[in-house]
Amino acid sequence: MKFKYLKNVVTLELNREACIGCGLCKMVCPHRVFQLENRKAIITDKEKCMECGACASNCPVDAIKVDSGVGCAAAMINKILGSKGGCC
Amino acid sequence: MVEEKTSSLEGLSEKDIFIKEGEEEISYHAIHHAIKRWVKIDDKRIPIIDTQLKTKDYLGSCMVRLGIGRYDYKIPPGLYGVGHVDEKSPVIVTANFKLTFDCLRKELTESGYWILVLDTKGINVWCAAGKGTFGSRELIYQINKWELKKVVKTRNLILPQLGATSMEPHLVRKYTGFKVMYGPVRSVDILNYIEQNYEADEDMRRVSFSLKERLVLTPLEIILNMKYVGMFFLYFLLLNIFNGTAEILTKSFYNTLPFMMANLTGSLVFPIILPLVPFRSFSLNGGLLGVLLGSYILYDFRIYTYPESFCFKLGIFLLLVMFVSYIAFNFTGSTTYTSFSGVKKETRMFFPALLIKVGVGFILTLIGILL
Ligand code: SF4
Ligand code: SF4
Repeated sequence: MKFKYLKNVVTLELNREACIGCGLCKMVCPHRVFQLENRKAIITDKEKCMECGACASNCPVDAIKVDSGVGCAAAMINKILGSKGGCC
Repeated sequence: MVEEKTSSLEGLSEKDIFIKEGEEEISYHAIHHAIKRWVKIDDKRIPIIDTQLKTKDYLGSCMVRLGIGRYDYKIPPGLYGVGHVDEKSPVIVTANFKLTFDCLRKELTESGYWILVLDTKGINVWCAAGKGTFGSRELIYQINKWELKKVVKTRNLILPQLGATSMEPHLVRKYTGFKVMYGPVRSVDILNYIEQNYEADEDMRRVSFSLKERLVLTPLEIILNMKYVGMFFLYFLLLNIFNGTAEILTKSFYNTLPFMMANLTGSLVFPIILPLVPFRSFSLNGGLLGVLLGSYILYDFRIYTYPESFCFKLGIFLLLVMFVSYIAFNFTGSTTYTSFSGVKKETRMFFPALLIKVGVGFILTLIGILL
């Protein structure tokens, strides 16, 4: 996709030691961030990650860490204002 | 994290997972017109639904897009069938948002599919997955409630790929024996995926944000932002009353016109030109559009029956810029690519500036009136 958002903010981290190469992260990522190389996952383009959290939640061995949440401005403004309430 | 996910099963007993308090009798009212017949398996009655959408469905989806009665469009969660279902038919899992459900059933054929609808409170798959309502816990609950093991021989479930965000397939397998398989992102590809032996190509797995996908979001954006236009109208109404001018209503209407244009700029023009905007930050791009609009309004200032005062001009300009900027910034919540940390960072930088500049804008217009 040609769309780009703020640089150098993505929190995605992969622990290759722990990875068992099941390929689920590669399968679920909506931005195709992962590939498998030598039977282990690698991050190909971190900047494309939107921190949806799918890879981390699906990884059976918890090898992926990402700070994920509802990336919705309305929810964040509510948080700054100290009130509850979400979006969508 | 803004909203805690509710999907994690850590620390829950089996009883917590399988039993939900306060379950009501299912009412199929919302989907009644699409039910063709019923099948009975043990003590469960399962509705078989139509693959053709009716006028009522199309009308309903327009209403949803316009934000009218959105939450009346919940499908009752549970098991449904399509076509000639039997114990070998594949099981597809989806959310109970009516548009999502309709998108799925219209792609299917009479050759027989089960649809397991999770209770996502009438919210689409991706948003619900982000919140955790489309998650392992709800999936396990529905599988057990409908005794899916007695209905089908297959032990595979097809989930939409965008429903993966809060799924823990290893836990689903552990508690139910079913294996989670991720289908394509878009339901148009679902039959292809099944035909290709449950393999999706790269394109089926990648989210897009095409012009059409952006455009369907715009009516709701415009309508939601009308409330701010309404507030500006009230503000001008008060100013005009205070000023004791003649033709208060007409004047306030003209005064508000630029803000209506600002709404269209932010809610319609911005999403259309999104691939072409120069900056990474949404609020900056919106600000740029706002400056263009604001300059045009200043150029033709008299049409809008504003007082001829420099301070007032400056205030209107500032308010217009910030309004478009805010709408554009808010659109981060609707895209398919903006990252959580990115939006967090932009919110922290943009929001205080927004409040200050809007405040200054209002003060300038007041000064413009008073002096
Ligand atoms: S968080 Fe989402 S977008 Fe980022 S790598 Fe994981 S699956 Fe892909
Ligand atoms: S999901 Fe986890 S274990 Fe599987 S390939 Fe990805 S990182 Fe490795």
